[in-house]
Amino acid sequence: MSTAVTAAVHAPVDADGVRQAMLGARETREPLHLVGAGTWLDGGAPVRAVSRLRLDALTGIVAYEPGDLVITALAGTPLATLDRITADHGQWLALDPPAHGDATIGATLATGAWGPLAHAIGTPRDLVLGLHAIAGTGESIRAGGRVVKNVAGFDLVRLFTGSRGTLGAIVECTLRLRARPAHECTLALHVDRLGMLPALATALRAPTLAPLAIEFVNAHAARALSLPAHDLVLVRIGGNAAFVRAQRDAVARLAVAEEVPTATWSTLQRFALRAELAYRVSGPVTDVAVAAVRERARGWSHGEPFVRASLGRGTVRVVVAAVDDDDRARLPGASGTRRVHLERAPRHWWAGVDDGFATPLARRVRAAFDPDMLCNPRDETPDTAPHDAPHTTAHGDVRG
Amino acid sequence: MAGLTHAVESRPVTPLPDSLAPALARIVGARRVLARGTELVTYTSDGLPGLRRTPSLAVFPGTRDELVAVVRCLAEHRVPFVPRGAGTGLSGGALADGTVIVGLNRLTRMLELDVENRLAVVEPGVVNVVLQKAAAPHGLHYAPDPSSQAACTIGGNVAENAGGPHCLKYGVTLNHVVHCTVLLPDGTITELGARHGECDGYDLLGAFVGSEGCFGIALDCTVKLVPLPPAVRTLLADFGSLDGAARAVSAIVASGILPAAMEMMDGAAVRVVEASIYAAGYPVDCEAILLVELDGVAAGLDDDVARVVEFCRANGARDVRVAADAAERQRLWQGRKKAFGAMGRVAPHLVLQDAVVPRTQLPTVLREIAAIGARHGVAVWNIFHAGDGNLHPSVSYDATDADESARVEHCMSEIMQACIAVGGTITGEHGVGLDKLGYMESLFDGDTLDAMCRLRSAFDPERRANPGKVVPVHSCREWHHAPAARRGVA
Repeated sequence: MSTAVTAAVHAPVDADGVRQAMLGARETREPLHLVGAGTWLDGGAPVRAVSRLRLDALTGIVAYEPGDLVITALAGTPLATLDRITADHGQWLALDPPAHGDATIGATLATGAWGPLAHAIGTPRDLVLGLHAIAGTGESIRAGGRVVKNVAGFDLVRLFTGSRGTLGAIVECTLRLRARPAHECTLALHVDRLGMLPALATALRAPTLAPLAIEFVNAHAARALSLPAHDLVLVRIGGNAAFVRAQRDAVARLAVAEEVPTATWSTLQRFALRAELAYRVSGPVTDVAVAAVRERARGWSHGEPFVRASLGRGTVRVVVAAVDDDDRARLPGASGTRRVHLERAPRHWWAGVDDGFATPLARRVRAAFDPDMLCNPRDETPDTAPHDAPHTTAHGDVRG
Repeated sequence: MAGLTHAVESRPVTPLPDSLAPALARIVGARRVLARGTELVTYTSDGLPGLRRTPSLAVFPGTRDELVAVVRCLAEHRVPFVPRGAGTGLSGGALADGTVIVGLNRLTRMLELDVENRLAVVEPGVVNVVLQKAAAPHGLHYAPDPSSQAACTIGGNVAENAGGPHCLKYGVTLNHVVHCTVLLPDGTITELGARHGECDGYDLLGAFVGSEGCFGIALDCTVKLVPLPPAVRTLLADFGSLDGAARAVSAIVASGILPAAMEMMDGAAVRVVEASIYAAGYPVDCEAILLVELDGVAAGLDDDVARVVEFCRANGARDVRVAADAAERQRLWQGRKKAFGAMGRVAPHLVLQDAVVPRTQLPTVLREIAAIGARHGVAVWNIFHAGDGNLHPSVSYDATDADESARVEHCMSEIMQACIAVGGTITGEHGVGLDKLGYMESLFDGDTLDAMCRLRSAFDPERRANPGKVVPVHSCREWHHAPAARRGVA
């Protein structure tokens, strides 16, 4: 591809380097594709940029005060590193988005990605206390702080979280940690009849239960994950010994239950990341069981979908390993209180998909931080041909 | 000196057009437009008695349609305005300097209570405790519980990103609001967030919460309700030293136990409360008390309580008692929640701060605050949300005494700088408003402050909504060069 010849790859090692790359892009008017470790390059709306600004060389812990349960890390630090370092102190950054181990904290914040633990703990926007970003203008923005309660100034932290790199690059962030539970137990409840799922979901939300996560997993996914081969609801329980014992008994009364290893959650996190199609359906919590059953029944050209659902948050996640063009018509549409969020799809399927960044207010916000639209500008006329050169991670693995 | 509120001067304003008051009267009725000085006196201050600004007009729409029409009328006349809820704010955020106050206190409808989905949709003037009372019969509650909850409005809570003692475990307003229908200052209406499900695009709802009335006015807010916990344990720990209590807090936090609330009061504050009608049975000879509440499912709760008691004793607690019943729990909390009311009876004026410091720094900072107070001959009381490091150093004094006033102002300014120096922030829940404008440059650099201005301009290009608040005007670079004719007021 001729465009690959002129493509530049910037891999700065510090915030100043990021700033130089941003200012350089303003001068040459060359848009930049902002990426972390490149594990999710073809996720999200396609970007119209051949030059790449890699942020995965900005790794390392800047400050960690276990007594405060707060950690500050450079944005390119892998989630796995944060996990390891906090585990040494009996703590965790309780974020479990679908992600490869190399996935960076910066990309997690930029995409606002979350997983089953969001049920009890929240999403990235609930855990980030402060961040340092280089805006598309080249300005250095230090938003928020290092304390757990902070209303000083307008909330640029929330603005950058979930902004998908369209306002600039996050280079450092401060996050709130939790203590790892002293004891943990995960139960897999068998959903013998799909008709029982709504009542089961309601029962699991009772005030007398306080699980860390409540996740529906369809039989097709359960088999692939080496879990009991049924439609299942996985319930993650954590706390002190008396709590875990009592909660385990209470949950086990709701359905046929067996205990599965805690490691199931990390297997689930890394599951089917290479699939050709991934989307979420979100809506009222009272509707999620019905939505999950509907997605489970949806037929695709190449077989059953893998379906999960965070029953306490109202979101169903669907992953389809392989798709053909006529599968595009099978995608569900928004309806009433139900919304559909495309995560990963053949590039040309993104044409005309509304990702929420085009409202008049959103445009004005973007213009305030990236007036020249140089950071992750959307490709409005995507076609099937991939533009980007293969991405090499810090370990030398090539990811497409 | 940074942070002194007297240094935030009134600025000369463009007089309001004569046609404005009649136009507003046509929308809301003449009775609901106040223009005379005597009528406007109530609105010259908010919860901070020391700070006063005089509005030119105050208008009180009674319905959503009237509110929309009022803001569109103000847009047509290009007039700046200040949204105001119950006026309980503690940062001077609802003060209007020659501009128009838009009172939201008449929009008090509870629009919807969706028990199954645990959501409530309310107009901005709904009082916090009214929402609590509506949710309670369904076994639900709205978790953000600021001390002013008997009077403050949800709209005001959203504007300030209000906290309260129970935000330690449950989170602040930001974590509970899922959707707002927002009336932008230009009169257009937009929706932020999503009542159900996820919202794509920028987290503009997150930016709006805590924007202190500078981005627009919420016509309605959809908030999450949380089930009332099945079990609650409230403990009162009595310490012979403030240092011991602070170290106990650090130890409890570091252990990973997450209490629902953890409040501290020093001995002087305790004695003031016990001398008032709000007496809660606190030990008057203590140097500090900790009020710790743990809640959740019953199983395992008492094990956590036992650990908390251990941490208190290990750090010098002379006594730890657990409230025997709901009545005792209520009384223990009343002493804390009414503490500022009790302090208000000691001297004519009260000033307090809202800095947040890392929990591990609490012992150091409390010693520093005592030293600073001693240096200036000022008695500083500490009543605060120890669990998240949110301090409220407070001083009762006579603001008409010029010498005392000056000492108090210098003392408070030094305390603020000490909190910033240990990695803290200047406000955890009260907001910047006018009161803390002078500290913003100690906390944020020029690029960041300018970015905040630009975000605000995206919502309000003419900068007419609550002008002059939150970010010092001279930090807004474009604004600095804006033609004078288009300028609002400070």
